[in-house]
Parts: sequence; C-alpha cells; structure tokens
Amino acid sequence: MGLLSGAVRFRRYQVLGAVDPDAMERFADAVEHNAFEEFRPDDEREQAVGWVGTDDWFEPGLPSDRWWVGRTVCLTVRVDTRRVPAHYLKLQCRKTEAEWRLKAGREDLTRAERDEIRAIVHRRLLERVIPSCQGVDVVWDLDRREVLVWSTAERMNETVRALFERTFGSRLRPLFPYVLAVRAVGDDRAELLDRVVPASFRPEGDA
Amino acid sequence: MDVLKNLEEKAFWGHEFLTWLWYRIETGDGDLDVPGVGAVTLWVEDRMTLGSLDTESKENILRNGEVARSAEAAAALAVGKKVLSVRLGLARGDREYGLTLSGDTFDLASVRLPKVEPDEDGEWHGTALVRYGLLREVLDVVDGLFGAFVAARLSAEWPQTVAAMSRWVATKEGG
Repeated sequence: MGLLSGAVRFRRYQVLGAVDPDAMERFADAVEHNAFEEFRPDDEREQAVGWVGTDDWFEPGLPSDRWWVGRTVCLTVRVDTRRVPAHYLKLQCRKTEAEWRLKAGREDLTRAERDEIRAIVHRRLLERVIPSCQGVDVVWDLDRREVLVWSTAERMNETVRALFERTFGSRLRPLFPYVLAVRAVGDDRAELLDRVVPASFRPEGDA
Repeated sequence: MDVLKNLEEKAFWGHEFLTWLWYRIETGDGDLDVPGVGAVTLWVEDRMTLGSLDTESKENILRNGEVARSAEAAAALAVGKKVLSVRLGLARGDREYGLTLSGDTFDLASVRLPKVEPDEDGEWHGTALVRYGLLREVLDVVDGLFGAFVAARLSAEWPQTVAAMSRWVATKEGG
C-alpha cells in the first residue's frame, strides 16, 4: 500500500537547505550509489537498506526516468531484514563448542575461540534465514521542499531519514504541529509561539 | 531546535487545534472556508481519542457510531481532555476523502482517496501524480485550517474563543 494504490499513511517533512539547479545529474549518481543491494552469500549484514523503483522493488537499475516524475522524486526505500533466532543460535554454539572441545582434547575453550565459534555459527545460520522485505514509498516535492514518507513508525522513519540524508545531502525536519505553526507565522515571529501556554476549555465553575 | 525532543512539550498545539476544529465543525455545520483553498465540508467520522497531558487520567478511545455526539466524548471534554487524534471526512467539490489525523505529529493514517483509474499505457507516473495531487489537496486543507487556528490562537480575541468553546463543552455535557 502506498503511493500507487490502497489506503495511505504517511509522515511529512520539510527539506532543509537549498537544492542546486543541476540537481538531476547529481541525484542520478547519488541514487545509483545508494540503490538497494541484495544479500550476497558471504554477506554478514542483518539488514540491507537502499532505494528501489516504486513500480517494481525487484527490478534492478535506477535510471532517472524511473523516479523523476514531474517535479517530484518518487522512490521506495527497501529494507530487508534477516535475524537468526537468539535461542537457536545459542544452542548451535553450544553444540559446536562441544565438538571443538572434543577435537582439541580440552575441557575449556578460550574466549577468542568461543567468539570465533559464534561468528562461524552465526554466518552459517544467517545464510539459511529468509529475509523479511519491507518497502516504504517516498515522494520529494521539489517545489514545496517537502517529503512524504509512507510510514508513521518512528524506527522506519529514522531509517528513511538516514538514507535520504546520505543520498541527497539534505536534512529532513518532521512537520509536526509546532513546526507548522512556526512556518505559519514566520521564523522572525517564532518567539511569539513560545509565550503560548496550553488553554483550558473546561466549562467555568467546574472543579 | 530538537523537534523530536520537544514533541511532548509542544504537542498541545496539535491537540488544541483538533479540539478547536471539532468545535468549528459542530458550530458551523461542517462548512468551512479554508484560507488558500476555499469551501470544504468536514465531519467527524467514527473514531476519536481524547486525553490530557496534564493529568495521568486514561485516554478515551472512542470507536464506532457518532463518537462526536457521545456522552463519553462530552464527559472527557468536561474534565479538560482534548482531542489527541480524530478520524475526519472531507469533501471538496465532488471529491471525498477520509483521514485520521494525529495531534502529536500530524501524521496522517488511513487516508481514503477518490478512486484513480490506472494509466492505460501501463505507465505509473500518471497514477502517482494524480494520487499525489489528491494528497496535496488534503494537506492544503490541513495547512489552511491549521494556519487559521494559529492566527486565532495568537489573536487578541483568543480569550473570547476559549469562552465560546467552554460554553460549547458545557452545552455538550448538559445535552
């Protein structure tokens, strides 16, 4: 569900800083550079994050005509996550440690050996985990200098903000009510807002 | 300014706005002239959450039916609670929308847009632009209404607005 179909949920941001007139060329390189990369067989990452096309998350290549739509940049952040269940990892480590002790003919293993076993087992199990795949659409309206992120979950928004800032070099400020109030009155009158205290609408005379 | 850090401290702006909007809807039959947009019709749909930042009292989560006219909503207002989030219906011209607006963050959820036919040529850019344009219409209405609220909140007439809203709350409670 997102930009192209279905019900919508999103958080809105203001893009801080100016955008160069020659943004297109710079963005094209930056988007390709931060495109999503699938897990490789020897990959130790538990999470892979990057841009994909909004029309098809699995089609490689992000030429600008896939995401430059009118005066907007339309992309999707794909987040693949794979985690080894902690309890299963512990059991497998214990089993492998027993094998090592037998092989070494010793009762105890050093801390370094145990760490090495954990890394080996973790890598082996990670290859067997099927990742979960999430996508969050992002629309950047260049004229309004606003970005819509199709998620209201804070952790996902953090991920999107980090990727956006890494890719485009501009920070995102959430357009929460107070920020919109500042925008409505102008930065030079923002101090007026700080003098405002919460009102009470309780009927007079009520305790 | 660390906006996330100040979120709770400044959240009353959103809560007061939603409460003021509910008052405007009920006392004006929902027909509102939105600055920068024009005439729209707004109504409260079937979901509303009321609460208070000042007290440790529980939130009132109202679902189904005419929540805006419920006794529970009136009682929550009467003890000083404000609207934390609300599901609204919006009509402008022949277009009708639904949206759930959070007072804390102005996140929009469950936004219902008018149906958009997919591009005949299989391209998706047209669909994206039309749907984005519809969302912009919703955002322009929210921004216009919030701008009007901020102007009212900073005006010398705000105490009279508070008094009128308090009378509205008393009427709801009594009604």
